[in-house]
Amino acid sequence: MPHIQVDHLSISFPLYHGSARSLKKTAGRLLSGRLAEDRNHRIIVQAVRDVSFTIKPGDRVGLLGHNGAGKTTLLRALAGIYEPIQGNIRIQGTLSSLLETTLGMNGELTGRENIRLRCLFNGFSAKRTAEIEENVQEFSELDSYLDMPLRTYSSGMTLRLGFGLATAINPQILMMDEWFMTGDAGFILKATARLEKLIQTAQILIISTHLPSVIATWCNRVFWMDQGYLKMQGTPQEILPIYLGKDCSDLFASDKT
Amino acid sequence: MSDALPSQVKEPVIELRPESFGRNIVLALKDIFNGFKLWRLGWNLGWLDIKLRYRGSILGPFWITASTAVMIAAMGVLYAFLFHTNLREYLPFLTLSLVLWGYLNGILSDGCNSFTQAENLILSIRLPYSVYIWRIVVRNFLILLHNLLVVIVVFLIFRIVPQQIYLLIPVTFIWFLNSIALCILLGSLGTRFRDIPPVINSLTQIFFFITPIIWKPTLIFVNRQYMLLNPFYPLLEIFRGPILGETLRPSIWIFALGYSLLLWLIALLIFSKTRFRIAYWM
Repeated sequence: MPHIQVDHLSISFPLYHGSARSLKKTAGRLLSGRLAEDRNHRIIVQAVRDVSFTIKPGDRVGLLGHNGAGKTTLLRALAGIYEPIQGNIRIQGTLSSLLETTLGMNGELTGRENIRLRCLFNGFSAKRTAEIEENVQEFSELDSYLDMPLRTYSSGMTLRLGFGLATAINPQILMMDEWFMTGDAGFILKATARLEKLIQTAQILIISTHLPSVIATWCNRVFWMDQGYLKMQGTPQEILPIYLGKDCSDLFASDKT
Repeated sequence: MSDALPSQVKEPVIELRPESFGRNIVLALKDIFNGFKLWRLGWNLGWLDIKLRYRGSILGPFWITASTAVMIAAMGVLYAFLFHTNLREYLPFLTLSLVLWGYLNGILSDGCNSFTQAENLILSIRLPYSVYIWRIVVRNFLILLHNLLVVIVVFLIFRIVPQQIYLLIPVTFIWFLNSIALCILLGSLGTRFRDIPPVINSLTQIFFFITPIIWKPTLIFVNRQYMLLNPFYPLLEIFRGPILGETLRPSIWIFALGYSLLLWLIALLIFSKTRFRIAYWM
């Protein structure tokens, strides 16, 4: 079964600019102590600080927090991109992540070529690639645009392609940044249906967002990130009222319609 | 897509934690090995780089061939005149040297940016870092293949028969391994220290003149062994010499192999110290 275990994870980025020290003086107050010195006296930015949690099958986790709270960094660490210097991560299960709109897609290549490239990244067989190509073609409704260079696409079209592609791969763990919620109403409807089907098999979903509505619609667990710390975790019903500082039963009522 | 129960599917497990130095060497070797297994991806990425660079132009990738041919024709005539040698002897030598040096130069300058160039990919998907190394090596190998056409044409014009072809197999293998090591080394350093690419660029310019590329090594009469201190000389010579029918001194072979071994040791050391940090430096 897919499973994610994180123990005392800290992720910090060294700053190598010559002016790092004066930077610390000025920016230090703004970042309220997120700049520190490591044992080699280098200035570091602590993006994620001492975070521990376990994610089990069936969990749909929403990472909630303001810009710069460490959501994307944590997501990248969970995707195995940032290997921890402190703490450890154990990820069991196949993984697909939608961290950037571009997804490593190349604007000069056609949509179809990008699909094939992505399949190569995942080391898929020719048969599997053909299946995925068909699946994405059907979902994205790009028709003849699929054979045009990606740079001619509107942002909505890129989104449909990227979303269709990431969800066609059928991972056990799906991670995404909130950008996919930016499509038009028709897209959201289709995406919702597709994602719901996926969640049944994917078992773990992790979404990073600062929109409470996304959490209310999609998640059954919330991690509230603040200043790199995991400030609070619980169900959306527990966390959202505290996060927003107001009663938000309307958020939960609306999504059932 | 698969109907098997989740418990029957073999699930990949990634365990990430701070590792000891010895373990990091193992992980670095694993990275290189896993990248090797994904060679189709590396090959495609490298090939795409070439294809996209020339997409829409009439000659396509054969612009590489054309520009090399023009440069060699111009330089060949000029330097044959300056060095007072005849064209028949000089031009095949110059062509082969310049094409090989072009490859080395490409590896050196692209190698520095192996990882920085792939920033988007590195930050959006977990892959062995050596995939990006493959991409650089493949790209430059394809450029080399296009330039080899010039060599073939020049050899045909002057009716030169390449000698000791069998030596090409081990020598190509050595060059291939060294290309990977160079890219790993320069790529890792170039990601951390952004001054590396310009430093390497100016160094390669110096080496272009002090390495026997446009001038023949036989022009040096005294203290010829000192030339071996330049690592590019023996490595270039083991490729070029046999083809042109020269028998190489054993010292050239020894130095070529020694430099290769040293390069690999340093590359492996640096890579195991930097591999897990590369994403942080983006």
